[in-house]
Amino acid sequence: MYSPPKVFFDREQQSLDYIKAMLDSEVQQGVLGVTFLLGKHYQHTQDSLDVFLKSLIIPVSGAIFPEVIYDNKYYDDAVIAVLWYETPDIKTFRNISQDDSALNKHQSDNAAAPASKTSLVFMDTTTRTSEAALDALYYRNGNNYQHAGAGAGFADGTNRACILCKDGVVSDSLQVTCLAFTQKNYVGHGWSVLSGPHLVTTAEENRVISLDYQPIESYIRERIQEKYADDLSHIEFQKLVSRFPIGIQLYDEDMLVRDPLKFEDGALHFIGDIPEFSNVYVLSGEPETLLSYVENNLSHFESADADQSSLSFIFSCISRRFHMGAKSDAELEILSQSLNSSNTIIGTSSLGEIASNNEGLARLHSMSFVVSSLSV
Amino acid sequence: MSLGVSVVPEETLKTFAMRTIKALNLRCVYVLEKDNPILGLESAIHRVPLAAAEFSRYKHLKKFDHCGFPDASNFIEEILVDNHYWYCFSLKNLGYMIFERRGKALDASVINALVAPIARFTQAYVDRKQFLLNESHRQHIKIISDRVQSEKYRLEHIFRTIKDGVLVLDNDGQVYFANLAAHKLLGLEENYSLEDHFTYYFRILEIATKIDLTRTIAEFCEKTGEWSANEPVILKTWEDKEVIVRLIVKGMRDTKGAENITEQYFVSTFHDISEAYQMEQKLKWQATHDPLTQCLNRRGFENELKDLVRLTNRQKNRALICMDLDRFKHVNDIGGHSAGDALLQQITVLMQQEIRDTDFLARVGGDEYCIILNDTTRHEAMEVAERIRKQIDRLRFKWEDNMFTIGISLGVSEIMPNENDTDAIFLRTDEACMVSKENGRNQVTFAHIPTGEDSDESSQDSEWLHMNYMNCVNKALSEKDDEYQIILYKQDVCSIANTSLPDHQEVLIRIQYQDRLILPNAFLPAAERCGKVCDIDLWVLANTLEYLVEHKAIHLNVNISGVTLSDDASRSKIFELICEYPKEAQQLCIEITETAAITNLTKCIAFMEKVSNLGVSFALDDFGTGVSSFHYLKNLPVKYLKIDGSFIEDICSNKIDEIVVQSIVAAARAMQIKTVAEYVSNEDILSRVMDLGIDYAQGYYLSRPEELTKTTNYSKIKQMRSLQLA
Repeated sequence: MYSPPKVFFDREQQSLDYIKAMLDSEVQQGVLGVTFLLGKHYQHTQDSLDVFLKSLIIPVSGAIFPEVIYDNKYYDDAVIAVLWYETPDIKTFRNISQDDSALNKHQSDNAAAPASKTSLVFMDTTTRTSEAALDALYYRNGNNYQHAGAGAGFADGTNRACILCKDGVVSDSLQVTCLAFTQKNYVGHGWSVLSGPHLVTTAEENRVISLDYQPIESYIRERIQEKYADDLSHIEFQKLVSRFPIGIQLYDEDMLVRDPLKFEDGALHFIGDIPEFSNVYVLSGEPETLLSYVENNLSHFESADADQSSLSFIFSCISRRFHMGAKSDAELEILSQSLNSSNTIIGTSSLGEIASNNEGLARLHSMSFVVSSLSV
Repeated sequence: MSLGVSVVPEETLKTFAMRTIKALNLRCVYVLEKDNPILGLESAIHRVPLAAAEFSRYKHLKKFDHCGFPDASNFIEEILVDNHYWYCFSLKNLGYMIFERRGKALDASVINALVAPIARFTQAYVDRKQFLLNESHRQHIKIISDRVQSEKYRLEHIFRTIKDGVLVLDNDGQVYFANLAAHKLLGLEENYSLEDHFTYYFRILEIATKIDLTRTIAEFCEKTGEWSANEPVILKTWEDKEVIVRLIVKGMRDTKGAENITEQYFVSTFHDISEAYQMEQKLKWQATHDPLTQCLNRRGFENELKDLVRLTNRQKNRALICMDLDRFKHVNDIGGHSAGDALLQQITVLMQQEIRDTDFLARVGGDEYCIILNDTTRHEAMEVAERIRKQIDRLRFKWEDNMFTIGISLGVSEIMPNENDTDAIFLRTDEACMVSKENGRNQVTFAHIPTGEDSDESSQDSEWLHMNYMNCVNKALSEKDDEYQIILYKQDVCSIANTSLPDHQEVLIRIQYQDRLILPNAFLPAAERCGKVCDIDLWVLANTLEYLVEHKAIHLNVNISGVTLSDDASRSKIFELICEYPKEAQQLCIEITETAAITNLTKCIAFMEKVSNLGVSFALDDFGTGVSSFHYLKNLPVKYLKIDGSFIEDICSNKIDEIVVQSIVAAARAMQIKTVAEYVSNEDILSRVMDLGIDYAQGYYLSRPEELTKTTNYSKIKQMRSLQLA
């Protein structure tokens, strides 16, 4: 039996020194590792954060997010520290967009942590190779690990470093924090099909140029226009498609949602890859219908062994929050209530959500939310 | 499903497998790659993800380990084990691909739809492997090619830097390769392309005869694959330039192509030795030629004579002429060595005019010459000798204010086809030359070689003429050999002066062999040549002193050569010997003979004075013609002067001789030296020398040489004195 983790929240002090003092005290009490979920507006600079992280004497992991979730609310100026009483096995793979990254050195991590079957994954998803990085993770470890996590970042169009490790704040990285807990993951989104299936005829990694042999811009615009009586032609394409994500229908799995990030040079860029010659759908969802989906599917998120669960994470897509507006806060409220009341619930708004499917393959989602419950 | 083809086949496999896993929600993919070296495939089991279980763990899949190469890409079977579904596909020319899926089977339509992308993947993977194999081969070939090229450049560089010309010819004689030195050797520009048959560029000639060896060498190489020779050859270029080279030809076989066609090449190496060869020839020439006259020297003469008798197939006779100039010393004494050298050069020219190019002229000593006549008869040889004699006789050599006449004594001998003793041939001819000298000089004497059909006496003569005089001297001096014995003779040296002077007798030497006597003129030259003259002189002196022990009333003259007197050890021995006979020393007179010059006059004078103190007197022999000169007369402590017989024998008819004798007598008297006339062979000469005031006379008219025991006949002198008094 492992000791459950302890969660520390600060919004008042806005001081890394304060956090440091708290940690030093907790280390005296037997804390062996820490994971930070840092709201992007919590008081810090990259230099102060580097100094802070390098000064820690226990293993450290974490990331910077647009917002953190604590006590059923989103905060962009707070920090959450998860204190572990078992030593976490933390691996931070740097330069994941480079071929020579350690992540791409094909070596299994099996032998390194045979007892750690659960992991939290934080990744800099501003890189184009984020999906390839998750594939590499699976290629190394197969289904020996259960992953849950989120894409980190500031959601302000910058590519600032956002992964926290012993060396400071780093970019273009993927971090795996392996834990000796059991993990249950749930993915939900509530989007419905607007049109499709459409064949992806020209694509490379996370960029799609044509569907059904048609340029993607005009083709999608036509498919949306077909469903709406109002003239949508005056709406900028990128703004238009931000309300209509793309769904990939996987074989024998739920629809995988891809959030359009930007339209550039005739190509629509997404978080995560869209394979060439795969079948995709144009999705639609109003805030009310998305909220209804959560309300109607609460039983999916209730853990069968909820009594044993000590800590639950909610990773909710920042784009979904933008799209849902105030309904997003209601969605969080409903989700939190569905989980066990004795359970500590924390989380982040994220740039892409990560969760293993039933075969252990880490999938990158967007416009979705992931609920992950850790049990001792 | 896209393949995600990469340049690295394993990357293609990984991408394809990952996409398949993601698309079909699989647990893992195995690809069994079978060994196929032709396609660059190596036996391997690929698994995606890497953490998937070992393939060998699944017994139900073991059969695929032993399956051969599938000839098509297709779905094989679905295997269900413990709620895990295994989908097995054959991969054409590659092996097998197996998917693992948990819990739920794939639809048949999906399985069918997978066949096409799997086939495309298989083709892409195998093509890529084959491409890499080809690329690897190409790289390997390139590396080998680069190495070969590098080796070629290196060898070419070596070939270019070495000084030897290297030509590689193919089996047809076409030039395949020529290095820079070969171009230079052949007088061609560096970038000239030699593409024709090698005979367009050069030919090979034998060095001695200049016979064209090109064809011979080529045929020899075709037979044996190589050619080389101890002797250098001449490389005659297309410009007729001749270069002396050492040529080595080595065959080289080269196997080409898949059919293993063997081609023959010949590597010809030309080492230019022109300078060395010329230097060698020059040194050889210098070793065998006389630098003054440019004709052969003694060594060159001996070599030619040996070569001549070595020839096995000698059908025709040859002849040897030995020549000794008369009165040459006189020219040296009067005109100095420059005059002597100039005279020798003139004489050489005269002699060369009388012989053919096939004959050999050699200067074997100071004034001694030899001629080897090839392909000649006895008569022709005598004619050549006579013509030379006449040419020399007619020569009037003018040097500064002096005019010299000289003569030449010649000996001629046939060299018979069966003769092979060069010493015997030479000594025989030399003796004939000496006979010419003894018989009055300026004449030709033939050394007769009797044939086997001659009488017994002639057979003995033949043996006589073939005698090896060196052997003769050695045996005579040896106490162990009685076959040859030295016999001492004496000849009277009679006082013919009015004043009372003691008579003397000159001790003469002979070698007795069987019942014949060998005269000193025959064996003394040989003794001088073999360094035995000192031993002979000491032997004679010792026996003479011993003879004097028993004969107290006589004075004996003993000849000691200039060679003996020039030798420190011999002088010491003579002194020690005389010291043993203090009484007999009073009766001893040493005649210094003219055969060789005294090399150290100071030491000799000191010796003579030391010996004189023991009572020994000295005479200077052969004064006027030999090395004896007025310089000797002035410096040597001599008591007697023996005027050379050549001045005496014609004194009655030759006014010059008389004047010379008068001058010698006058000079001797001024120095209180007694004079002796040799060659007094008749009454007139005796009368004439007495008139000229000469103190002693010696010659056949007064007495012939006889053994030491015989008595002297003084009656003729007494009779002459009474006539002069009357």
